[in-house]
Amino acid sequence: MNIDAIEFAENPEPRCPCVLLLDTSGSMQGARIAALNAGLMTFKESLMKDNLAQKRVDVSVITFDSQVKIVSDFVTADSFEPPTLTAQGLTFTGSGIDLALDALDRRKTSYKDNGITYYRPWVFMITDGEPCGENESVVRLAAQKVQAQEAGKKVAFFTVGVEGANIQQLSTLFPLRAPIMLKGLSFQEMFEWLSASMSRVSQSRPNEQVALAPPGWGIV
Amino acid sequence: MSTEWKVAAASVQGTSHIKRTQPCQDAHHWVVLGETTFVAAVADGAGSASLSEVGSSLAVETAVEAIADRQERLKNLQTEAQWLDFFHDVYELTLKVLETQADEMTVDKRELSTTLILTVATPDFIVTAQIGDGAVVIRDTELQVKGLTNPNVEEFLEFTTFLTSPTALDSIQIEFWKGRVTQVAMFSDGLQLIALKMPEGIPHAPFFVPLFQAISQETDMDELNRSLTAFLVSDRVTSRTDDDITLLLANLCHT
Repeated sequence: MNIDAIEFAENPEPRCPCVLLLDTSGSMQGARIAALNAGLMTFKESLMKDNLAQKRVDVSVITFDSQVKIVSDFVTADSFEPPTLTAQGLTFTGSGIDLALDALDRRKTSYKDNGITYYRPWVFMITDGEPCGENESVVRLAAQKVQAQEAGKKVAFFTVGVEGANIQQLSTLFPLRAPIMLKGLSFQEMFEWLSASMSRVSQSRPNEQVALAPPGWGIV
Repeated sequence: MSTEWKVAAASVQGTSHIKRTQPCQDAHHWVVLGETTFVAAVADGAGSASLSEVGSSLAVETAVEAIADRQERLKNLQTEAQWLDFFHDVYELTLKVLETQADEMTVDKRELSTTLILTVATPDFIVTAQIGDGAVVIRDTELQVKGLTNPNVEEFLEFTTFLTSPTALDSIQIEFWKGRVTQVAMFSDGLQLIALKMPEGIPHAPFFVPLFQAISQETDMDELNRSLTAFLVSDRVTSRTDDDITLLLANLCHT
C-alpha cells in the first residue's frame, strides 16, 4: 500500500520542497546549536502565518556530523515539528549533500507518481567549519553534483557559513551561488527571510539565472 | 443569420500582492471588429519583475491594436503557417514597443516581463497564440469543453517564458480550431491550478460549465463583470491561489 497517496489526496497543493541541511558537528555546540534550534521554531511559526505556504512548503531536516541523518522527512509546514538538535562529532559535509540530493530525487518521484506539481527545490546548507573526517573526493564529487544541478536550474542550493566557516573553501566548492556569511547568530532573521522567500516562490519567473538581493542577515 | 459577441472580464490583485503592496500585474484587453471578429489579449506580468504591470498592460493594448490594424490581412489567412507568421509579427511588434518603453524608463526590458495570450475568433474558427503560461478553453456547439492552448509547464511551476525572454518568439504556441465556438475562456496562471488538471493542462469541465452558462444567459455585462470579480476575490479562489488572476469570458450568440 502506498501511504504517500493519502497525503497527496488530502493536500493536492503544489509543493515547494526545501531541505535544511544542517551541520551538527562538535563545533556547533552551545550557543550556536541553541540559536539554530530557536531558528527552526521561527521557521515553522513564520510559515504558519501564510495559509498557502503552510500547505505548500515541504520541509525536510537533514543533519551531518560524524553521521548523516534524516532527522525529519518531508512534511508540509503545517505538520512540521521542529526538532531539537544536538551537536557532536566531525563534519561529513559531502555525505550530507549526497543524502539531501537523494532525498529530493525520491520526493520528486512521489510528486510525479501522485500527479502533484512542484516548484524548484531549495537546499539550505548551514555550516560553521569545513568538511572533516571524510575522504576529500566525497566532498568534491558532492559539490560537483550540486554545481551541475545549479547550472541546469534543477535546484537552488544556498550555503550559509556561521562564524568560523571556511568561506574561501565554500566559495571554491560552490562557485555558482556565492556562500552567505551569517551575521553573528542571527538565525532568527535568516529563517524569517527563508520563510518569506519560500512563500513567494510561486511568483512566476523567467527560466534564467537571476541574482538575489543580499539578505539583511548575512554578507555575501 | 447574425452574430453577436458578449464579453466579460476581470483582472484582480492576488492576496500575496495585497500583502506585499505589489500592484495587480495582470491585464486584459479586447475588441470586436466589424461585429463578427473577436480579438482579445490576456497578459500576466512576472511577479519577480519590478515593472511588470507596465509590461502587461502595454502588451495587451499594443497587441490588440496591432491585430485590429491588420484586419485586411486577417481575411486572407488560411493555413496554420500563415497564422503563425501573422502572430509572430504581432508578438515581434509588441516586444519592440516593450523594449522602447524599457529604454525610456531606463530599465532592463526584463523588468517589464510578461506573458501574452492572444485570441482571434469568428463564427467559423478560433485561433489562439500564447507565450508563457495561462490557457484558453472553449465550448463548442455540442457543449463540449476543450482546451486550446495550455500552460506548457516544464518541470517546475514557477518557470515560464515571457515575451521578453531570449527565446520567446521561437516558443509561440498556436492552436487553430475550425468550427463554431459558443464560449471562450482565457485566463492567467493564477487560475490554472483550479481550472486545469495539472501538469497535463486538461480543463476541468465543472469549473467552466457554470461560467459559460452565466455568460450565455446574462444580458447585463456590467453585472456579470461584477460577479466575475466577486468570484475571483472569494475564499473559494483565494484559498487556492495568492496570485493575481485574470479571467476573460466571451460568448458568441447566433440569432
